Amino acid sequence: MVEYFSLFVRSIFIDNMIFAYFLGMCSYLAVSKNVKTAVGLGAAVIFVLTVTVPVNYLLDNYLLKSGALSWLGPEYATIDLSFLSFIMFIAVVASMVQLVEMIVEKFAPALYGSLGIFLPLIAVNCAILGGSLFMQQKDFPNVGMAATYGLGSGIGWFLAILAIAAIREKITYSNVPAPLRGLGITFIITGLMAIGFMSFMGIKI
Amino acid sequence: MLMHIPSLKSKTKKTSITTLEASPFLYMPLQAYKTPLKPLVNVGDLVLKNEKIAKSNGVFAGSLHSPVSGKIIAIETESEFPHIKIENDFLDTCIEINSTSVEHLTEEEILETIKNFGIEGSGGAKFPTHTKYNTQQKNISHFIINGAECEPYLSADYAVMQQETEALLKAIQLVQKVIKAEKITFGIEKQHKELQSHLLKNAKKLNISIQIKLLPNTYPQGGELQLIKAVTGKELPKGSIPAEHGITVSNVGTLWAIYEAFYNEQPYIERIITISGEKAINRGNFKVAIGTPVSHILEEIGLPWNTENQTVILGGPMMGKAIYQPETPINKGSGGVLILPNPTNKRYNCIQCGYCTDVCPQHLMPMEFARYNTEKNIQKLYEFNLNDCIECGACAYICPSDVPLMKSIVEGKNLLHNA
Amino acid sequence: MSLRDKIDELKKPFGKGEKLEKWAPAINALDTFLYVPNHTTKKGAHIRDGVDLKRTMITVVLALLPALIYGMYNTGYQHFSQISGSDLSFLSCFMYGLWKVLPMVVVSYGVGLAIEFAFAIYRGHEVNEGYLVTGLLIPLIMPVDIPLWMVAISVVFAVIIGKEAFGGTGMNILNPALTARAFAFFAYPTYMSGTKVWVSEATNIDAISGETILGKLAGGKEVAYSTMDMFSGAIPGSIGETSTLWILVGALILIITGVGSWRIMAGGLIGAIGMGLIFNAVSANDLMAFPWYNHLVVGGFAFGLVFMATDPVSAAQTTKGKWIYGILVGMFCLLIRIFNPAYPEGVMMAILLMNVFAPTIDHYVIEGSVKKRKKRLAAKLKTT
Repeated sequence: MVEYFSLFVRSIFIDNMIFAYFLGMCSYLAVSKNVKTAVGLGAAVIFVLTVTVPVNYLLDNYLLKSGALSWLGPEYATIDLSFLSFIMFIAVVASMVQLVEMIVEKFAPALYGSLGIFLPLIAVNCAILGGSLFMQQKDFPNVGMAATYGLGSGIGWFLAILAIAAIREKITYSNVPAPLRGLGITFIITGLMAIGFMSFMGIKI
Repeated sequence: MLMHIPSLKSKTKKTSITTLEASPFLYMPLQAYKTPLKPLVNVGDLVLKNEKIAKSNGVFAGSLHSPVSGKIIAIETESEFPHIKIENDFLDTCIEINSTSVEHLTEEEILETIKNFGIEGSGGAKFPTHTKYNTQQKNISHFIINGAECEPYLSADYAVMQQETEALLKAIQLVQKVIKAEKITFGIEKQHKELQSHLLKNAKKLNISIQIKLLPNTYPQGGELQLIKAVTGKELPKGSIPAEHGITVSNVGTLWAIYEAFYNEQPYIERIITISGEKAINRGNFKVAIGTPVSHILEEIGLPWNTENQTVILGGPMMGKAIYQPETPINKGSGGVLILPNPTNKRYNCIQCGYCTDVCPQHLMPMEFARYNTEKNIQKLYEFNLNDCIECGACAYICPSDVPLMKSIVEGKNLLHNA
Repeated sequence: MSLRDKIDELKKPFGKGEKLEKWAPAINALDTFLYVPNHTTKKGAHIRDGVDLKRTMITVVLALLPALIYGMYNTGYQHFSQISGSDLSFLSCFMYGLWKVLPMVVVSYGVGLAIEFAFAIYRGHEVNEGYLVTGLLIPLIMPVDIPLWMVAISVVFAVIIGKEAFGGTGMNILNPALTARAFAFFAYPTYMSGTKVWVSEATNIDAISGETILGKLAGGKEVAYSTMDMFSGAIPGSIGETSTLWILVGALILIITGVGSWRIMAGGLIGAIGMGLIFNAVSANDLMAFPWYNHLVVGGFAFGLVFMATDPVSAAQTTKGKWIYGILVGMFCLLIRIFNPAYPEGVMMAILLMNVFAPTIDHYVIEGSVKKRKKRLAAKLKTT
């Protein structure tokens, strides 16, 4: 239980997708103009990460890894399909995103409209693929850990986009120098927020 | 938390009420609560003192009387500031008003007189008094007299309470005949504690049972909702009518006008105002005719009219208006004329200290109004309940960055109104 | 000729259409620096409360003075007490500290105000008094032996990136003083932590360790100070942060004048005490067993909570938000102290982290009360 908890906390705060790895920046920067849409996209990312990471974990462990196919019979034990992992992972991610898109369009058409192109673009959001690849690299002992990691990373990303959306709403009327308006100041904010998140670097739990 | 503002009344508080010399020209304002008044006279007509010169009909019916005798020389109904201009002949020929003795008046007659004599709330909102007292269907349990003059500088109500005590109490007696409240409470601020025994002594003489409630010296204590809350503990939502909760609130100045109407047969043609402010030479409480232009008042106290090195304010310093037109007249709701030094403060950036939220008597967030007003976001202005704002100006007063909050509130309300 | 006339004379060439018009903000800043602007306005309230932004800032500076003066004394005291047989009188300690600290203050104000003036002229806005506080806070949270050029660079980073990029006073998202410290901390870690930096010219650190108490704890060493020492402040640490006693005096000034939010301070105390009690109950290691009351008096906790967490610009602004913000600052401070041995001074990071989330807290507090009001209104409509 302790290792689940520690992995969960680590993936939210210490290995935060945005502030530690700067992954998933494109939608993070583009859809953070107001809190409402940011929450929508954040929730979608949490969902996609929580589902794709364990699914990809299963794929990886029972299909792709070297020796993963040994359950078919001893003669398959030497097969290594890991060169296929990118394409497999992306396929899973893309299909999950399709699913999310359909759900959002059906139940929250307003949110669907405001997310626009960025909802389908979650498919190529590097935080999502990154989650799966980190999972592969971290070599989790079971699928539960992978799901915990996916959920934690998603929540970390969600927190990041929520915080920056609230900050950007707050500074809408700030007298930001003209050359920095828009994306420029957003990058600066992200950097400063990362300083805030530095407090977690090096925590050992 | 309501805030405390220095009262700045000491210079005028104790001065006796003096009558100000009549002006050669009077500008009778035609604005009234909700319905504008229609003139009953034509250019060139001769009018007598106390003659009705304009009226309106309906629930909020009002009327306007000439405070002097003279000639109508202009009627402006279309301009931004509609008024009737009267040239004073300084003869003060009064119109005959036949009246019955006060003791024998019926309820209806009292209400009718209040309506006919154009009596309106003198606190600033100018709500027609006859409408307020016309509460046959409702059971009024509590009659509150608003003696909390929370605006700094102004001491006209104080002067009435101190110097016209008998008139005030007689008016209360009269109003009581109509509204038949179970309890009469006088709300006065703690800083005017000395009035308590004075009022009680006089009430005893006249055999009226009143209670005195000492209120904290906070701003805006004299706002109707704030006063009701301080006296009864009930917090009424903005827009609700106190009569529905069995409460009637009347201002001291209004009651004084009622006394004048019944005991001196004089319509609402003059009121007591305070003239004060750092730049005023001659401070004090004065009885002036409605319609007297501000420039005349300045002249009378020995100041030239100019807007370059002084700001003239009609009303209190918190809610009053800065005047840039010399012929702007005293109306039925203005409690004072203040002459203050010119504004020179500059605006800083908002530092989100939240003082404005702390002092807002209606628990609103004024800085959000400023923000959403720049954005013209009507939806948000509505959501943040801008309509609940009573425009007391407390937020603008306290703001350390001098953000023009009142300006955005007024603009925002216009936006909401037009939406 | 009065001072007023002199200033007016001085201002002439800076008027509209004059030669030096571009430099007008600079001279106006000097003017408002010396004179409180007159107080009436065209629309709305025609009189103003005497407390304007400048008075607010000056109040904070006054509140900082006790901690500053004690910090100077302590700098000298820590220096001399490591050298056996040296003079430990108040005056000699204070003079030593004065010579150490004053240059830092001068550099911080000089560099910071120069940048502010440059931006004011370039962008045509007025110079704000906001930097008065930041400029004094920065030296107070630095180790005493940090080279002056590092102070200067930290100030440059904090003022340009942390503040002016957002449009100046009132617009920044992180507390600029903490931004400066965090910058120095991550850019020059060897000067900002360890055993040598906290005592001025530490020559004899074996005899008396120059490590801060939290640093020692994190390193698993014995703490030789009593709670009373930690409270009065005769311990190594950043210049202004050591004496909880004098910080409390400052806190009192801030609370009485209403400049600092007591809600944030109270919230921070509650959060830290609560977290401390939990850790004391668990007591899994030395760090966790460190008594909760000691946590309140060591390190920058008191200083950060009183002077930096209450910075209205970067803190939450709603009443409920201030409580939440304060409590979270207290909790995160202890969490970081205990779980993150790399940053024993948890309070700086805790406040920065909560600065990041303050707008989020406000957003949800406001949304909550708007919803509540709507519900109340709907209920009222139903009954009537």
